[in-house]
Amino acid sequence: MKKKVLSVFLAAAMAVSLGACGGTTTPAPASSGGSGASSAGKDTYNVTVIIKATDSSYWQTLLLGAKAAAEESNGKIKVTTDGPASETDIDKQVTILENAIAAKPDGIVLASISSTSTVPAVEQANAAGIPVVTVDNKLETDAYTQHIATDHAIAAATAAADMVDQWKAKGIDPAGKKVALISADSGSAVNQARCKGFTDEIKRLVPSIVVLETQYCDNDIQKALDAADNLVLANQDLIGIFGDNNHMGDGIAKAMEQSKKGDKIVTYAFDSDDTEIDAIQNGNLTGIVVQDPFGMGYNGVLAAVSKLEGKDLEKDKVSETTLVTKKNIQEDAVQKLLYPGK
Amino acid sequence: MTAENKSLKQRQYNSFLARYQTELLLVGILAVLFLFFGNTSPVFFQLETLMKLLKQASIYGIIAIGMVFVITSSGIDISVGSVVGLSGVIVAMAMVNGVPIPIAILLAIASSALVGLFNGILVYDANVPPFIATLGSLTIVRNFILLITGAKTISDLPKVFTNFAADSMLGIPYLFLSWAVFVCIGLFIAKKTTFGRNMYAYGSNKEAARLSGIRVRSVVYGVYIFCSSVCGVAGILLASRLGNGVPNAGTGYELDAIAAAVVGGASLDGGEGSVIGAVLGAMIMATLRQGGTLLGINSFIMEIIIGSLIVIAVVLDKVRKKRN
Repeated sequence: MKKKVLSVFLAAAMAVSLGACGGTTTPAPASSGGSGASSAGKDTYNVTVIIKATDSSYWQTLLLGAKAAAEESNGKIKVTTDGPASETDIDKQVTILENAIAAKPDGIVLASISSTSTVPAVEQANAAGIPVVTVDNKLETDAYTQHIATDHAIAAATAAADMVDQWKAKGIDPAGKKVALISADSGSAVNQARCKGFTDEIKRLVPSIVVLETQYCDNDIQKALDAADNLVLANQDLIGIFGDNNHMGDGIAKAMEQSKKGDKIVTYAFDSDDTEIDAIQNGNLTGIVVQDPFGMGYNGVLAAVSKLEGKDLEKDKVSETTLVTKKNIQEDAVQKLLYPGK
Repeated sequence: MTAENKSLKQRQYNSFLARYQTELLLVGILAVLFLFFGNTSPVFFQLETLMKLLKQASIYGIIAIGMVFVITSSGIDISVGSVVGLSGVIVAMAMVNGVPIPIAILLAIASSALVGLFNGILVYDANVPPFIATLGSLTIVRNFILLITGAKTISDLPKVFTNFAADSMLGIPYLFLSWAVFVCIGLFIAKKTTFGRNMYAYGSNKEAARLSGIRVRSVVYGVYIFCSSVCGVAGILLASRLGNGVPNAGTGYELDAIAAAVVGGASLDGGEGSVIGAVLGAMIMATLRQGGTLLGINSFIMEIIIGSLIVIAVVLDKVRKKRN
């Protein structure tokens, strides 16, 4: 983890210094860059990175990571990026992927919207010797080179473990007390994995804990706020709430702010946004589980290149998550995760 | 003399019953729900819980009032959720950019009203079916919001603004007081103005309304503009409640608003609709949702109950009307 953060940091630093070079000594880097790309031939790897949606900051962050890998490589890696406008454009993404393959890149990094629609194209690329690294969504084929994704259940379990530690620190005995889950979407596999991961771990650590009925809130902040309010009203012995995405976190934090229960109830959510970050600093939210799309883009590109260089890769790789609390929120590495590209 | 008096009273009583049958039925349902949750949850009758319930019902309730007007005129407005989002984002953006709060609020309501005007033009002048016209606005407005905000939440709103939804006067939440104000406005327009009478007339028979010289254009424009403006206010209150301008705020609220209006006796065929009915409809749904959480009832079962209630309320209403 430390190593990765360091390398990401170096990449960013390099990008900044390269940019600075370009500004001051104009001709030199421009010409060397140009010749490097054209004359180096086989020494340059063209990697196409295709994301799920260009309208989302999460996927834009993944692209930043991919670009950082290219910038760090000193011209060895060239990254082309593409993707449909929205996460519902399944066929557009298939078309984009097919066109990308037709352009014969050296490697592809793909965050596929559908786990089936892109399979034929990926198999075709594999047959043509183009390594395909899939990130986030796993495809129903073995024709991928490496799959890099967050393990949502394990990540949510880290929140459960930390919740138990926080109770200990506050002198709260969790035996027989209650925890609640507030979920954005009952039908999403990712959200289900997060809730199950949290529930299993908290029950393993505190077998006598009572897990209340999950509240489903249609990804609506107001509904999450209402649900958290009602849970607090009904359960005097409620000591923990887990929200399975950032909007649920926003609603929970608002409820804690108004009920002033932030010190009695430990609250965790998944994914970050500015409201949650403020809430963590104000003590209205204990912490958040943060994924690393930057790292997925960065490692995805490097994995494709490693494959091209003949290295063996593990088939499935877990992208690490970080638990952000008041304690570590000011650290550089954490700030980098919360505000990628800044 | 006494017999005559008695029969007059009886008649008055009967006509009161007939006129407010739907509302009385809903009050009955609400009373049953209160008794049930009050007996099963130790906290339900606590003041704090009741005040939270009023807060939770308020924003949906305000939207439902706008919806009742549109439905009564035999239209439908499914763009209300997007308008709620638009208004919240505009008021937030304006305030963050230093616009004084009252002007920011006016701006938000004005842009909401503009959506209503657009809906009215589509429905009346372009003769687009209301469902399709407002489906178009739903999509256009929501994506306009995403475009102007870059899908990012607008935070750091003034404390005065965000405190409003959290605060209360003499223990009664401002959110609920705002709802009450709109109930009064809605009742006044529906019962005491020519516009209100024209709306019922147009909703029950468009051709007859046209032939009797009602200015149909102003009725159609009026209901859509009123509905959107009311949703604009709901959006501002929601932004205050969430403490942010949230681009996806209000998504799906049209369904709750339609449900509240229809449970409250509004007929999708037009000509019928009650502001008080919509208020009770919104209260019943909020009570069920809160009670469900208080008792720890499975969310899916709770939504099935709410869905069934909508169907039962409408069926009962139909049966009653047929009998009359």
